[in-house]
Amino acid sequence: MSELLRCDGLCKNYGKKVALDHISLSVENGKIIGLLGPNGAGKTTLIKIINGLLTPTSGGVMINGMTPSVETKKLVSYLPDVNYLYHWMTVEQIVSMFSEFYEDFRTELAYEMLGRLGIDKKAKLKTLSKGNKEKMSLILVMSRNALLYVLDEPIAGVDPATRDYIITTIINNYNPQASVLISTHLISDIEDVLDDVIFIKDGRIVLHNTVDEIREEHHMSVDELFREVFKW
Amino acid sequence: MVKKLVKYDFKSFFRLLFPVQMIILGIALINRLIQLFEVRDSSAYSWIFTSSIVLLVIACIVCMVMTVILSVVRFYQGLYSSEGYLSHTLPVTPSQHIFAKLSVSLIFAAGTVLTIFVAICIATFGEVNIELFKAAGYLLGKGFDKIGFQMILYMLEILVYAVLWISNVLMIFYFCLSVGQLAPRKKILLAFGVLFGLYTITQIIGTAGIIIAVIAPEWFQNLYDVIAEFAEAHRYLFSHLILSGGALLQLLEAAVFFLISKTIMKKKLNLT
Amino acid sequence: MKKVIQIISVFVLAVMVSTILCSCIQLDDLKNNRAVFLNDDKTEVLFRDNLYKRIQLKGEAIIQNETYDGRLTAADVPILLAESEGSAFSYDKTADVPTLLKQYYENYSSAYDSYYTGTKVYCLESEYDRISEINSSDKFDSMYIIYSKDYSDEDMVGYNHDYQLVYEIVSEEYHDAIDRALESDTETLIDSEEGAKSEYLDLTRCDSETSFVKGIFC
Repeated sequence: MSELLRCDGLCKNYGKKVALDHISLSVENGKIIGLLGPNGAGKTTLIKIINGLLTPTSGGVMINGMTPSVETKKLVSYLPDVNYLYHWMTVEQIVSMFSEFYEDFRTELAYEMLGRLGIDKKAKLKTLSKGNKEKMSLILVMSRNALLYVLDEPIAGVDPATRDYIITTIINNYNPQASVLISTHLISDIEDVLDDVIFIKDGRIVLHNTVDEIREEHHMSVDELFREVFKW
Repeated sequence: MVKKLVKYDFKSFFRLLFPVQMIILGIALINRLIQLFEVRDSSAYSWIFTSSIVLLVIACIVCMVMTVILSVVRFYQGLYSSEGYLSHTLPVTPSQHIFAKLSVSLIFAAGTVLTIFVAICIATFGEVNIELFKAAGYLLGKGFDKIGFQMILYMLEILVYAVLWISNVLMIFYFCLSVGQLAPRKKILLAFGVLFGLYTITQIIGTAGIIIAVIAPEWFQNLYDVIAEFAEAHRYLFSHLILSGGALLQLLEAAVFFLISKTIMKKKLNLT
Repeated sequence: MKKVIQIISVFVLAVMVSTILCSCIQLDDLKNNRAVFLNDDKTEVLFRDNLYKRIQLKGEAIIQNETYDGRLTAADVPILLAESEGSAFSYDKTADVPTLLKQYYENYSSAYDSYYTGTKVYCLESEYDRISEINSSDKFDSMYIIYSKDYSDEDMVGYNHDYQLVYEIVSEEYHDAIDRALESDTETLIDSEEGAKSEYLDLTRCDSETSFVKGIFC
């Protein structure tokens, strides 16, 4: 087991508002970790800092022992919670782009998954339905043979069938030596695939434990514990 | 990596600017077609022909303006909007991103210039076009006869100056956008504010220079006399120094803005 | 898509080919008004494929129906640069092959550098002997009057009026009276035919063919 991700005392302030408050965590390889919390808890902020899209006010992040840089971007496969692909490109062009920039990109796997969805590779991304766009983004991310997959709200805003497809795709295609960090607030759908969970509330980590230990200790599912911890 | 970035940035530019450039060529073609019906002393023909020329000129201006606007917009969209999530997670450094965007902008600026040149050739196609080239060749030849190889040097210097000047203008815009993205909200507004601030500073410096010249005219007169004497004694060297010096200044200014933008992108990225 | 490109290409090609065959009126006018020096001495000029030779005048040449559209350049100057690189000359605009060309200014690098070098006159080669004879004789026994005549339409106003210079030989019976009038320096208004108002501009001695005026030597 090696430490893939490490955060030490991460703080992020937007003026007076504290988005992250001394976040410290460690993620080992070969795990699927759920980053769980309500809206505005700081999940996306933490994920953006891990990916170098935001700079922390204080504290540090290490990915595979390195600070976020060009080298760590080669190891991390990130799915943001926004529509981030170049909408004017065709499916073929975006796949080609990913394969050109990422050495670990598996083009045949990507086309195989796209084929199963019936997505025409000549289609422009902007013509795809919302669901297909989400699936397209996920396929691109999971087709990489990365060391750390960071998925920000991959199952929010899609129908249950699509949610199942997404979860199945994640499980079937990630590198077993890698780790997957999934942020979501839809716990029940994803609980069964998680190894560890991190609860984050108001920018602080309130819980970091394995799913099995939570069930043993609290005699309830993670979803039920979540409702307990985050009730109004 | 820069080559790959340039390839994809090129595509994003191309799909937007190429149709405009084709429209210019289309208007030039129509213009040439209109000339087939040339009638002496006809106010109707004169009106139609002048209108088509005006349309062509407007189209060229629109294309030039669009090229600059597109350069700025594509920089912002590609790096500081939702597309930035993809751009900044690619294994590419901020310097490479900025350099690629600048390169593509310069390529399309050259493309716009070429399009306008081709449009003029199309609009004057035939005898007039040949005579235009003859006149240009004659003037160039006269220039070479008069000042010899200096002509080539001047042309090179002017070209380099033009490229560096455009690069500098674009780098200023990139700098303003990079500073603007630091704001939590109203990023574009802050970018405009920075641009306005830069403009104000340059105006203040210029005005200060004028005030000093008015207050202490002797000092400026002495400086002017020294420069004029040098210019008189070494005419060619002086003009080369002015051009090269100007180009170097543009390069230095652009480099400063490049470094600041790169540092902001590396250490202060605020993709919200 | 391919078919669209093919159709567009054929259209473009058709336009290009058809435009090669047509000429430009302005360019034709420029060519029609351009003369070139044939030798380094600048004593021979080619204008509308006719040879003209420089003539040393004893008197001042008169050009009827004068137009100043001509541009005289070295042979290698492109037609579009005739205005800036050439010198202005005048000729009879009603004649396909004018007899005389009058060069006014010398341009060296641009119109702004031009300066008056004195009028140089070039004569059509086939008329050279006849004109030389008139030029060398002292027979300025005619008198001509130059006045400007208004050829405008009735409804034309202001500076759009179409004035043209008219040269007419004055009948011999008026010569003495005119000489006296010239000496007393009085102004004269002339009523010509059709009641058109005109303004007298010049009245002086010339040869019987109104080619030369007695007096100024070049």
